[in-house]
Amino acid sequence: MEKIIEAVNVSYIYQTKYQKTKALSEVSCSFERGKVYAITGKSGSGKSTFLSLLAGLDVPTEGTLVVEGEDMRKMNRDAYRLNRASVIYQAFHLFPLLTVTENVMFPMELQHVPAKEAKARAREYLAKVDLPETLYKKMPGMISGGEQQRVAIARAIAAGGEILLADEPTGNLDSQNEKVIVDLLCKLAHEDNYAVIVVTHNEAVAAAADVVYGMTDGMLSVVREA
Amino acid sequence: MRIATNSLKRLARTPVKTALFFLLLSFTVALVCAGGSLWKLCGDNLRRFEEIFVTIGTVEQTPERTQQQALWFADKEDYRYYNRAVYGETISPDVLDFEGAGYLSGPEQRAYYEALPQDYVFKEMEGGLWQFMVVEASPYEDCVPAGPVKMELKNVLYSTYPPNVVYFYLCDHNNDNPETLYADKTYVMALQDGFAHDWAENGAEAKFEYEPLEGPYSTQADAEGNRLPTDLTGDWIAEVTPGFYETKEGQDWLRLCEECVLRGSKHMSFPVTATEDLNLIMAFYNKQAYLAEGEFLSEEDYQQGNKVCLISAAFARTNGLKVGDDLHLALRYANYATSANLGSMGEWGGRLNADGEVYQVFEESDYTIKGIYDVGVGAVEGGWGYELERNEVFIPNASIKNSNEDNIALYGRMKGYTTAFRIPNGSESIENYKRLWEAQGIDHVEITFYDGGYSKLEGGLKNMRTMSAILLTTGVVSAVCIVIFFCHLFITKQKKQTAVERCLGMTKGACACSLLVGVLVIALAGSAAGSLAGQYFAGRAAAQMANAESFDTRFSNGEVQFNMEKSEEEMAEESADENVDGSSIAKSAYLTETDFAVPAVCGGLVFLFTVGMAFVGIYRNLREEPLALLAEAGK
Repeated sequence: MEKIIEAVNVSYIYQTKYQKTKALSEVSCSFERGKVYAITGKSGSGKSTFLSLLAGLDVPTEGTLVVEGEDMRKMNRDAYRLNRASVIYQAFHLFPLLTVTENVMFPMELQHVPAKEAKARAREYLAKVDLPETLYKKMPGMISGGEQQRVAIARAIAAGGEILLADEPTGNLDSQNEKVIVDLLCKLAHEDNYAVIVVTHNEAVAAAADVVYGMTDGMLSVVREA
Repeated sequence: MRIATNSLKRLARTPVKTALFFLLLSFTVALVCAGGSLWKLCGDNLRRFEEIFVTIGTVEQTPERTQQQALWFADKEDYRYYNRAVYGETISPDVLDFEGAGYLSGPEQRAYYEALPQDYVFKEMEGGLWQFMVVEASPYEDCVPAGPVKMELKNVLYSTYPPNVVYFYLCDHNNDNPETLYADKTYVMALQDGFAHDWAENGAEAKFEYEPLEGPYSTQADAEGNRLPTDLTGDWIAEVTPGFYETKEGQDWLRLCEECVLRGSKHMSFPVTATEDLNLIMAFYNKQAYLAEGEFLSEEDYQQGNKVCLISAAFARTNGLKVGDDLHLALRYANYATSANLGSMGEWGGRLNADGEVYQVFEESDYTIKGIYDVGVGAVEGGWGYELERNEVFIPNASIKNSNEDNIALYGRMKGYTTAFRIPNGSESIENYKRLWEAQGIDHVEITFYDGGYSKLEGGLKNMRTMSAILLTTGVVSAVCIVIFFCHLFITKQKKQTAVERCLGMTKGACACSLLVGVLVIALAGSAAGSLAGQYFAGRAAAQMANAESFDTRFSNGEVQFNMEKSEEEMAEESADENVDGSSIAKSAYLTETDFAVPAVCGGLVFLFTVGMAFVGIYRNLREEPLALLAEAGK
């Protein structure tokens, strides 16, 4: 299976006015379509930073991220985030003042999809994540955490990208919702051919992954391979 | 477009915050606009009133003390006592020339000039002419004119009108020790028709009597105001002996008659007042005298000394003169002691120069009539000196090209009606003048200021302007605080939204648009609503200000200026209004229309400030990479 994204000796340093912190140290790995990857590790180990770099939220201090043969530094990262990689957060990060449907429509609006079509597609994605239709017009604050995370996943896939990045997607959910979300992510990888990369320290989530990486003090190691 | 729609949706879904921002912004913009409008309006009104009001000071030398004076009354056979003012040395108007006085006109101690009447016709005084005459007469018997004595009229040398009598009664009324007149002698004497003295109280027969007047006399002064020495005594009577009229004394009597003839058969005064500014003349200052036709003398006329004049409507009517006609003026002598009004009442024509000669014309030329003035009640009658003489002509002082130093018939102390100056309007100007004047340390000179109520008006407007400034400052400070607060709320605090938008692939420009649209819409609506409200409140306040600050423009240049700008219909309407509300004149000068440019500019500035603050907030939000922004938003 072809690599969709590859990290080559990626290092990242957080720099503030007062100090520099090396969050990643020469991380090298690759990700393929149709698989679920889990990156585990303790808090502060650098896994979320790595996920953010994979999402194009910043560029590595050193090393290279290659997306289908193209150096991310040379890419339009706004377009990358919009069209190819989507992130799901533990805190959902939905727009509180837009309805569920409007949240899902948002990336499509950025892609200039006509409103009518965007709305129809949003409803399709919401149906795909098994969200009851009665919730479509509700504000995010009015639905449960599990439902919000499903909306976040619907929004992520609405952009039509091939890389789905999830940062502790089940961190705020109960075990029942956790299973629903994990199943959903696996389904997206295995049935819809997404490359799903999940940062987690939840063992159940890691257990469902095809490949598990471990992150310790900014260094990545393979824990389990498919 | 969709981004803008989402931005507006967010606004609509936070109605309280949005409404609060809109209302507070509108309110503060209204404060700014009302303050700004009123500030400008007060400034405009102050400038307008500065132009139409005039502040003058009149100067009068005051007496050092009073002294009782006894005057004999023959009919009472007793003295009457009067308090007479005793003055010190005549103070020169040069004392008014001190540094910092800041005169706009003057100071001037005005002269009026006696002009040859030529062929002009003068309207007679109401009640007929006073009779002055110079006659030769003899008593029927030796007598002392301590009471009416019968005199035979032998010859009339001069009379304002023919006496048509062969005898008359003479009484040296105010002389307690008159000299004896002899029946075998003939006397020349200057007389005026007598008062109806109350002889009946003494049981005596009431007779129409004549009283003595001054004979040939001179009060000629030099350019410094010093009286020139003369041998003219002013005695009212002299014995006519053979060859008397060949003597110096006899010649003086004949020249006295010549002088009287020169002044005209009707013996009416034809005074010409030379001034630097008509505002310095009280009747014009207080608008008792006003322009009926043509124009006032202009600043250029005063400065260039143009040969133009202003004549009275009465004189114009009597002589068929109109604006643009020429008036021939032949000036003979100057009188610095009194106004033309007082001078003409007290003069009878016995005045000669120190050598006993008749004053000759020293300045003669044609003046173009530039304007015709008319007078209201009290402008020509009263006898206080401030009134105008009915035939008085006004010319620019500088139009007299020849020196009058040999033709000063009378010089006197500074009087309110002869000496005045003009200074800038305002209480500060007056107070400054007073302070500097007091520092000169000159006693017995009284300066009275007239400003037509400008100081009070200025005070009111300045208070209003201060209030406007407070309103404006409060509005500006409030607007700044509110804009900063709401920009913080709508933009800086939306870091999380921005971070998520960026994570979803939104460009920086689109993010900025998403943040800006909502704020701009509220800012625009708030600024517009506030501007309109500010304009409305400023208009209301201005109208109330005009109603509260009532004043009378009769004491300013305003009434005449404004009335000249109006049509006859408007004047007629105003006259009708005045019957209902006499204060209509007072409001005519007040500017109450607020200019919408001020609220528009104020509202625009607040809007631009909001845009600026929004951009600052947006820049601070977007300058970080999405990863850092997300981390910060997470905190």
